[in-house]
Amino acid sequence: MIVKIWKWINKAEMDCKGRDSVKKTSEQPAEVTRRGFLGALLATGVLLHGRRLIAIGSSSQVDITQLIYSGGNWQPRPTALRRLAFELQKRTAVDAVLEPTSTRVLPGRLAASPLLYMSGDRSFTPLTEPVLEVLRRYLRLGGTLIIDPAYTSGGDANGFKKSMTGMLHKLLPGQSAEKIASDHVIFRSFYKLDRAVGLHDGAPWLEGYTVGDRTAVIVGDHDMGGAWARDNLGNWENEMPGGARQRERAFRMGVNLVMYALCGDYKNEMPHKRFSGDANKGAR
Amino acid sequence: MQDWQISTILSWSNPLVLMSLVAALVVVVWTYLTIDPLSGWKVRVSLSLIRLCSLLCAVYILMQPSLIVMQTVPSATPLAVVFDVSASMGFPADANRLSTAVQRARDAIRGATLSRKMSFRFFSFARTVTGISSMDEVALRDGEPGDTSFRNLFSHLTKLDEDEAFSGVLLLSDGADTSNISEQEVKRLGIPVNVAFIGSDSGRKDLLIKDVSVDEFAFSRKPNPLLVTIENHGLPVTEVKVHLLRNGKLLQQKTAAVIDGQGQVTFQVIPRQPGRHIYRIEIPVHKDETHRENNVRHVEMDVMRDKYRILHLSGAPTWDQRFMRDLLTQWPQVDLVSFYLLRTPYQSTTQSNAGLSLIPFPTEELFTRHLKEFDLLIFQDFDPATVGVDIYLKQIAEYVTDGGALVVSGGQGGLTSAAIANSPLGKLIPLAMQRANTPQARLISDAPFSPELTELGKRHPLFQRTGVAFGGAEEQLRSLPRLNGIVRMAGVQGDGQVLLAHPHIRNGAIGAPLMAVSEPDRGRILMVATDSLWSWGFCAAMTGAPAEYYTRFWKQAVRWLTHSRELSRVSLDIDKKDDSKNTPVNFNISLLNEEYLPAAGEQLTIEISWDDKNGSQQKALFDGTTNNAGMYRLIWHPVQSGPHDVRITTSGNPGLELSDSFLVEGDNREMNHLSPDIGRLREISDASGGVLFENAIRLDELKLKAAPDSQVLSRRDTALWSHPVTLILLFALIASEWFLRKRWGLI
Repeated sequence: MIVKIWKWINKAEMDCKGRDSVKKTSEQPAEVTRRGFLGALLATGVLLHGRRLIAIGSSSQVDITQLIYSGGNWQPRPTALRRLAFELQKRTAVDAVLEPTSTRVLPGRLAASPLLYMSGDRSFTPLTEPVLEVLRRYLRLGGTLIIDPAYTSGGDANGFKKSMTGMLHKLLPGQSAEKIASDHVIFRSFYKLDRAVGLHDGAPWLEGYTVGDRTAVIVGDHDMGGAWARDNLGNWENEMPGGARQRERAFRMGVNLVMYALCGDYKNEMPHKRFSGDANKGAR
Repeated sequence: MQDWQISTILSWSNPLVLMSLVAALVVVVWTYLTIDPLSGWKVRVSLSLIRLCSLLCAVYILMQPSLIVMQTVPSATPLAVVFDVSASMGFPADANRLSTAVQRARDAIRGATLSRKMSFRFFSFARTVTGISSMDEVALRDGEPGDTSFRNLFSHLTKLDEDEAFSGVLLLSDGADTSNISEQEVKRLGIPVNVAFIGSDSGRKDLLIKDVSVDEFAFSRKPNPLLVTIENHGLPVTEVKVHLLRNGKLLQQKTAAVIDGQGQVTFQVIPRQPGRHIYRIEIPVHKDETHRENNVRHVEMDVMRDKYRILHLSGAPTWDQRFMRDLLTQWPQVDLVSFYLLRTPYQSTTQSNAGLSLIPFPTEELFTRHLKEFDLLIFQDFDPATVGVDIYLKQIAEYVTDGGALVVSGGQGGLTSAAIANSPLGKLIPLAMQRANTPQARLISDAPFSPELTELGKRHPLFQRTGVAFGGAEEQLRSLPRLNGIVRMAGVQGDGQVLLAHPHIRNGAIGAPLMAVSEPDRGRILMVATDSLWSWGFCAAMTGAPAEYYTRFWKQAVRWLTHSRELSRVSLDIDKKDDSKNTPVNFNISLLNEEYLPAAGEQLTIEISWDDKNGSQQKALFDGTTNNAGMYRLIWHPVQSGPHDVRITTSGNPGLELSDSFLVEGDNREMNHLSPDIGRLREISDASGGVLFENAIRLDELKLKAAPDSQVLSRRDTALWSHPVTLILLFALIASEWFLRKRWGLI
């Protein structure tokens, strides 16, 4: 029954032609009409209800927590993370919190989520040293911070990036950003990707800061949140220059980032090199 | 002959004497200055000199001199004459090396025209040294069963030389040493060692294992080299088959090419388990061989655990899996293989596979071919049925009972797995599972809680040694963040023991089990009924609680699950001075009680077993009782060479058991060193400053330590300081000064 419902959702998604309609490929996103969306939403509700729970308590679920900060605009794409969480739940075995939370830099709150998402579309008030110290500890202990500038109309993404660069210099003194090229495990933690993609046409790579033996801070310049954002009525909030294909790739990038935060360099292990190829005999 | 010398009680360097001399000098200068200058310099100098002589005489009396007169005779220098009587000296049988040695020594002493008087002390040695009254005692021997140990010989002579002061040593040997003495040990003796080389290899037909060498440390599951050196004497052999056995089972066979009487072959040994491993190396006996004992050798390999090899299977990417992975990848002692289900089976059938970087799960390869290579399996929220692993659960159950280790940790998916519950593994796990379709309210509690240690948990090594302070487990648990829910299990089953329980939710008479262990046969299983244990690490550290608890707990758990000896309640240290069967073996046993405190007054049984020459198993049984420190020591004299097994059992219920092995070398080690070794003897003579005689011994050419020429028979001491002449001299000096001063009108 569940399988049938999922097939029906996929069929509905594949049959509909949205505003970003392009030639259908295997990377086609879930472009639906409002009626199709509501139907899919209902079906998904049924599916999720019947799905076996994995995490026992809500804090054991994966919450992509948005960072609140003073000054600037900490949430330029309010619906982006909710949609990413939905896609994560739909596509992967991750038990995601479907209404992601937000928090200021408070030790008790950060303790509940080892994954932080920071966005903005204008400059912001520099973080104080005590706040930076908490963030530093968070990263050292295993937390991951994803930074995603938003290119909103009327916003100042460059102002955000300037503030963010200043923050990172203070947060990780003596370290500079390292290029995360397409051979990094982030680009194959779930999907195989050849470049970073979002609403904004940034560089093909991401940038990162290493803490210990892992990339703890991942910085993009692609406005991935802009590609993920979708309003409550099922309309995409921003048109993608590259159409549905570009949006799908942006979701895949988002899924890979979360998978990297959860599995680290798992995909670099020897068995994955030995057995790469056939994905149909299991899902590892 | 008479000799004499003067000695003093106080030496010149004595502080009192030195102070007196300084004072005398001051007085003399003062004397010179206080004499009227008009009396002329001759008067002043003369009086000062007389004063100086008087004072020096007084100081000399202060030093209490005495005259020693001695009666002496010319010294006789003892020479240590040492005969090697080891097994190799009995070769060849018709005119053995030992009789040649005695003959040469006799000829040398008989024909000697010595420039100084010399006495002889005779010794014989093999593994130990024995003093003998004359050469006749060794003349009739054929070589004793025993190895040559130059090390023991030189150690013995060094101690003896302190009392007897030898002028030198004359060593008669074939140089076939088994002790690998060092140059420093030779030099430590401090006297020249003159060596007579006695060696003949004629008529020998022998194929032997000359040497077997292994690295000082070997590691489990890794190839460790075992080098065998073969030697051939007089046999028409160009290649030899070499067999490597353990516990009577042939492990490997290789062929060594024998060129110029030597051949070598290297086995790569891969021990599966840590511990002491004893291997037997055999070569075939040739029909014409004169010595067959040296065709078999045993070697002991001390195998350590290189790494914990862990297979980590997770049913979904979760924070619990993520922090477990972090811990295992950052622990250098872990070799990790992990497989995580990144998609559910439903998603596999409903979502496009295009562009995915996922790989198939090589279940057959893992569970049929490689399962036994792992020390530990971790099922983290893993339902084997989802990926077809359920068909291997029988093999996994056998792996556990055969000594493997398993962790089964929550969430809900893994802890309600019907596949596990209905398989042979389901009977081994400590907690019975509820069915997956049990109502959520009866299956899950997601209210945060702080778990409580059960009485057993307080004593169990999983918690006892986790903390900084021994026994502070309860306090530490209380300081940790609360866990975020529990999967309620159906109950404890089999020999399952609950260590941690929910403080409020009851499961019968006890709290709902959160953590439980079982020990089916030789294996161990740990079950954790939550997926929020990661909060003991990340959350704890973020909120200021002890950050290291999570890591320490899991490391402790891995050690306990894999039977690390440091967590064993019974331990055994086998102390052997050397491997010979003639030296006793000390078994030092240490026993802890269930609370991991020294177990005093505990009854032990120690069983030592070995095979006799006919291959029949022999046993020695000993009973003992531990002392207040929980220790027991057994000293045992082996009666047979070869590998031995030791098994210790305690009287508790259930009793503890520990097995180990050790090797006792036989007397035939010498048979692997039959060849005369003139090189070794030359090294000894060169290092000590002696000479080497390859044929006849000439005592006049011996290098000897310069000895005192005479020996004191008697001595007589006469005190000079109290002698009348001395006192008269002092009085005369004082009187002469007084007289001259009077004459020159200075008083």
